[in-house]
Amino acid sequence: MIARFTGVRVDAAPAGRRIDVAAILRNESGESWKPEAGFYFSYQIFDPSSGTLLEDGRRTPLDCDVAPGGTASLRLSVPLPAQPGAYRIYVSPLQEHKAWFYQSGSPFLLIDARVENGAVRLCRKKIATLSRIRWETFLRSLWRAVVYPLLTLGRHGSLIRSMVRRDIAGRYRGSYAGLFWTVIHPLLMMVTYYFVFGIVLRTRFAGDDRPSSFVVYFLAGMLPWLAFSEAVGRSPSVILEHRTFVKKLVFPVEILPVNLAMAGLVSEAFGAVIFAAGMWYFGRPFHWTMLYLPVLIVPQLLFTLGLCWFLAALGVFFRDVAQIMGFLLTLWFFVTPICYPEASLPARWMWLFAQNPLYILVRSYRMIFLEAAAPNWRALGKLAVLSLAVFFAGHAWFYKLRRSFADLL
Amino acid sequence: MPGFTSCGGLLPTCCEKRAGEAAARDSPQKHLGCVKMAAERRNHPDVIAVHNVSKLYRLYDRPADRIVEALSWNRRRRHKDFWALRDISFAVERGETLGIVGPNGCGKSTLLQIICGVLEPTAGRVVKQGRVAALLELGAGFNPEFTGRENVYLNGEILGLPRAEIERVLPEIERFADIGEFIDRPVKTYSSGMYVRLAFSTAINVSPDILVVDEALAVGDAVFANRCVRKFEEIKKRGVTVVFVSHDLGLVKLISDRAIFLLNGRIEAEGGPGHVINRYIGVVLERQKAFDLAERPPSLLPATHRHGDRMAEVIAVELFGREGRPALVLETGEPVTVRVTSRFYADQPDPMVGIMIRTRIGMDVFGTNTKLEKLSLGPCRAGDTLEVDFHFNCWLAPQEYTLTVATQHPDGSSHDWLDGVLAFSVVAERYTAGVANLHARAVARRFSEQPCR
Repeated sequence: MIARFTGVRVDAAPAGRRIDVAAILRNESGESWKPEAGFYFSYQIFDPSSGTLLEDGRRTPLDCDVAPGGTASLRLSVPLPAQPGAYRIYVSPLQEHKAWFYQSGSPFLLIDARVENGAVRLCRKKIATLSRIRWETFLRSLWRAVVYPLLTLGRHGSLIRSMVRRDIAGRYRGSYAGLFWTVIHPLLMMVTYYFVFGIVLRTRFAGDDRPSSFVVYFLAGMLPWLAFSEAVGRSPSVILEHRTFVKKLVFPVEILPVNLAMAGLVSEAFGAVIFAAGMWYFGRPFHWTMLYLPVLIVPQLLFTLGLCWFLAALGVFFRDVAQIMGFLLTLWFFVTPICYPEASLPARWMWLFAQNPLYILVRSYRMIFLEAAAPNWRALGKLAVLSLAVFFAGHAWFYKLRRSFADLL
Repeated sequence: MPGFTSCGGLLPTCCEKRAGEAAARDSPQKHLGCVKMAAERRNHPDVIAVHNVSKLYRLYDRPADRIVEALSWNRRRRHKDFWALRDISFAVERGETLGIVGPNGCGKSTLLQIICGVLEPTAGRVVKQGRVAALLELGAGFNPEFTGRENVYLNGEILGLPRAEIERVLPEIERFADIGEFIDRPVKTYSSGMYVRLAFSTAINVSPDILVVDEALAVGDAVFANRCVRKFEEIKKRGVTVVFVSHDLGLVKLISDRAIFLLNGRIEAEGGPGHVINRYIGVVLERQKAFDLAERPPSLLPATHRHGDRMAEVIAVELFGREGRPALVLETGEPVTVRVTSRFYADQPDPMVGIMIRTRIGMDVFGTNTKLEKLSLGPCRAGDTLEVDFHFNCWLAPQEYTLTVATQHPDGSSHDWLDGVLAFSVVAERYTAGVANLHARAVARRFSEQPCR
């Protein structure tokens, strides 16, 4: 089913909302087009932004049989709907109850038009094939994948801020200690780990034999982990928890995972308070290299965000993800040298462990806070590239699956 | 179509005559069924344009099939199709109130969700202008742990209002919700009535351009419902477009300018609310009994809508005034007789005959039937003709009314139901507001500081 378009004329009728199309079509397929076999000329109107079908056009019958190699003249007019907006029109032959020619790869006439103030404005006409249009759509979606996450963050900044504030405040609402839990929680966890690793197992870091070394090294490694694990751990169920936001509110759902990542950062800030207190208590000096912190935070946040988007969307389809993530995060925690020194990892597998983004982060945190050194730029560069990829891919994934959330919850 | 057939010429008189609060409540918006008004409103742009919207639900056997299909390019089918909506098109103009009615499962809520943008249509699109506030579910987005005030802030922000703006409208929200000190208590302690008040009050006071309401007013008490109706009138004047779903047909008649009746995902009727609701009642409540209607010519009574199984048929409706003169204009308080004559085509052990008086906007004013009046009509045979008189004093306020009559089975389903079979007007020497004349007597006493002599 191949038709070649020549001599195309497209005119917008100035008064009415109508587009007149005329063209010569050559039959380049092996079979002849017979009117009695259900061959017609027609058109379809689509919404260009979402690609949904708006109208199926009236069929224009063929005058006579068109043998292979023969030509037929196409003449039809497309009445456009009264509703203002952009419309995309496909003009193509079809065989009724079988297929449109354009669907099987034949070239067709594509017209982009707008209806404004009750009049038609032609924007573009071209002979296209479906694969070309798909490629165009793909390129545009690549562009969208880069721009949309930034738009999300920019446009909903204030909503994200207030939702994060509420999330933090609401987490311990109704409990007696209230907001203090945000500090008490990591503190108690730290005490537990200190007992197991610092006292029972006598873990020591970097040839530093003081018992305080465990505390500060552990806390420095814990900072990025707190932010990361909290956000990622909650992300598979975040959409399910906010199902009314998805189904019953006009709400930008894509910010829910963002809220998690931001709330994680706030937890990290509380952790940093404990860390600073520990440093001060043990008489450790504060180095100027800690000013490198923002350089670490940005890739850490992008990586967390991308992963949150990915898992949040996945969690809607597979409720099991939330269960698996608990286990995966525990594993990830122990694979990352947070409560033991990096040197304890088997040297033979070091190349593998060093690919762990959290490893790079933990190492860099310790370097800038405890070892008065600049972070390892090579490793950090690798992390930055990975984070950006995860960030954009995560958003694209979320964006593509988001449409079906409401149908699923 | 009570009240929507002949109001063109009567519109100015009824508007001029009203004064004070009555005028505010019965403002011309209620008579939008008129051709004249409709023509004027055509100039306004459409705020919501729903264009060929269809919604297909894909029923999957396993959730995993869905993700496989969503991510694959070739779209292999792994589902069964269910069309919740099919080719829905309509437009709503600025300041217009559209009511959507229909039986459960006809696609009303799906349509609202698509209008809000919460659901994506399978085909077609919805073009909206302006900010949408949606009340699709009672207090959706409320966090039960937070206080009412905090939730108002969050809801406002979700609707895209800056914080300063919310602070400005907060007193109005509190005043309208009228939940007193509960505004500072966690929402989880609220009764469902308080919940809906706060949610409704928030949505309506954040100055949306489009308000979408799904069955949200069903929970409030009568006082609050009344306040909501007035608020609807008020925001309509501000140019807010309202789309709402309700099973309360009286409410739909009262506040909507236009209505849509959805049935099985398609628009079954569209137009003036009175007309649409009569169609709805006819379609839904009509009993489909195997009874051959084809042999009999339908009687020629001019009903705006007629339904029933026609086991009996109303063949005449007459209205008599004082001294038995046939009348279509009555004086307030005049003794009146409504005579309903019906013929039976099947044996009926215990039929009943009823009448209903409605205002032009379709509000039920007074209705009764032989059963309520404790009059047994006894068994009627096929071929019998039955004449029933209802006598009453017409203590109605001066206005236009329509009369609806019916003969019914004892369970209330209809043999023959005729909406608006005749229209009559009530006149009076003095103007009174409302629909009933309760012949009040005004007495005053004055108290002053100085002793009276």
